[in-house]
Amino acid sequence: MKPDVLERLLMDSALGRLDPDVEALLADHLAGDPAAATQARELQSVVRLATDAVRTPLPAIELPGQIHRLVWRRRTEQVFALAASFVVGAGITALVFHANLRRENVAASRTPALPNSPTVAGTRTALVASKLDSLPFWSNQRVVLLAAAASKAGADSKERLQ
Amino acid sequence: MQSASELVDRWYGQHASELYNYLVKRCPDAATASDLLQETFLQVVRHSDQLAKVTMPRAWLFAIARNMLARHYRRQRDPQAIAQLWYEPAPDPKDDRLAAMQEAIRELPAELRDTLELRLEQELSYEEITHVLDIPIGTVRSRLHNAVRQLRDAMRNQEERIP
Repeated sequence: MKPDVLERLLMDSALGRLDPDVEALLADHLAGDPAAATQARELQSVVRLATDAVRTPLPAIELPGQIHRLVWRRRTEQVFALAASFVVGAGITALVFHANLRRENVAASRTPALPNSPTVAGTRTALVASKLDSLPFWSNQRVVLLAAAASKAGADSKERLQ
Repeated sequence: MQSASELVDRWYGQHASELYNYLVKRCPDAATASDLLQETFLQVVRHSDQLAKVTMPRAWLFAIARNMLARHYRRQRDPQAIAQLWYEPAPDPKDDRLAAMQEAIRELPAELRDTLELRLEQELSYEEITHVLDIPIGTVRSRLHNAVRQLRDAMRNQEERIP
């Protein structure tokens, strides 16, 4: 057997890695090779001493039933995460709603009043319709525009009746 | 088929003590070790939907515990503190050979010492060590062989010094 192969086998044997059948074959080989047997004993002694060196006995400890606390901690985390996302979502919605309302108010105050002629009224209706088409169905701006158009139409019809 | 919570309970019962021992030797105090053990199992609870896929629970738990330990020392922002990841036993004044071996282990490169300790102290198999350290099995074998070779040479030198 090559020396490097033998050394690897001896190392694995000392580290308790070899399968029992390979271990038996190695033992047979070592019986006829005193130098390798000495090497094997030395490696085993080194590994045994290293094991003693790293295994310092510790006092026995009693671990409480922390696992249940952990499960509750995890559930609490999930509840807090849900609550936090709800608060953030509600906050963003409120902010967007207020920002839209403010923009609408500013736009309404800057728009010059259109005269009440039928042609201008038609143009205004067309403008409103095209703006409504461009807005998302549930947008606040759309609701405000619809409400404004409805009140304007009501006022126009009253004027025409008078 | 066990539920995730039953599995976590079982793993806690089977491995919490050895994980605590692993952590307490590498922590400045028992309270930190206890916290890190909790963090380890909290991670397990967080991944409870994937527990069925875990093939080597012991190795997986050690890998998490080791990551928790590394994260703890990274948070300390102390480059020396990370060395605590590798346990350094106090020399035994009563036994010269044991003290020499402890000294030789301390002198090993960190990655060799880490691998050797997982094998000898925690008795993890080569395959389990590959999971904990995320390295190929050939690297585990060569690290262990190198470590044993260096320890053997150190002990030979020590025996030559003390006739």
